[in-house]
Amino acid sequence: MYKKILLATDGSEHSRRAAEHAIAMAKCTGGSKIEIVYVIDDDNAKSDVLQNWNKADLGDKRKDRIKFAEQQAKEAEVPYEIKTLHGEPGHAIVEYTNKNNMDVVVIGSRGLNVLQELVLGSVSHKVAKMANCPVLIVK
Amino acid sequence: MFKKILLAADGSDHSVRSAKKAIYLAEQSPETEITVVYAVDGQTSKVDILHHYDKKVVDELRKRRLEPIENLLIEKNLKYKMVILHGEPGPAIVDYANKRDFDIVVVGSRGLNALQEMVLGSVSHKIAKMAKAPVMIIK
Repeated sequence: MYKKILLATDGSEHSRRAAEHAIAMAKCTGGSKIEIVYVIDDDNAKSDVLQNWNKADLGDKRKDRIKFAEQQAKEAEVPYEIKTLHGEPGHAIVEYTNKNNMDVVVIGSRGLNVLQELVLGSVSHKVAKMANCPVLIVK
Repeated sequence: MFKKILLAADGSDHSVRSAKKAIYLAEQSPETEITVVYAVDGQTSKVDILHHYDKKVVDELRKRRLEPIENLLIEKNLKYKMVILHGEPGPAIVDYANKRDFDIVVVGSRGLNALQEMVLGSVSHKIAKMAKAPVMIIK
């Protein structure tokens, strides 16, 4: 039933737990695939570049943030694919989900950016509202 | 994976779809129990009583709202429990879920009451925010 699973991740605690759930779900159905999505927003892009002049370093740091999810998927022997999107996280995830007809989105309830959440509302809420498919919000 | 599933239902189309997803999750592992929760808020309770002032008829009516869901559960031969809560749906369901250890809460994105949702915010959003268990929002 859930063959195309989108896992939104930013390397936070919550997203790690989300990864565990996504993998458990993928194991339920044969032939399912997880797409691990990490969104780089403008703010992040700026601070990442300012702190790491070297472009190679930068890639490493970003990879670090998805490493956990990737490792978990590898260990569980679940097929996965990594996608990096640019833009505002909520919208980018929703757009990607709706365009690619995902079967389910797994997302942590709280990401890394607490302040932004207060001002703009949480990414998980946006995704839950606007995505066309079921959304699993992991605590 | 998900042994104790809480399904929030009000008999709406969305809640029937949620029931189907909850059943799918339940079928993945043996000995799963689904708890179907229907929260009757003050307004609904008033309307129900004003339309039918016999208590027995009211109970019957509430049961009948959940009948499509109950039929699905019986068809699949799953262990289930029906619970009727009183109070504002969001907090009532959260309270019930947090007092017991559920592995997942399944809820429809939209219930019966569209107007209230605009004013007060949606029940599903409240549950997603406040419940301790992972929450799956079904479209």
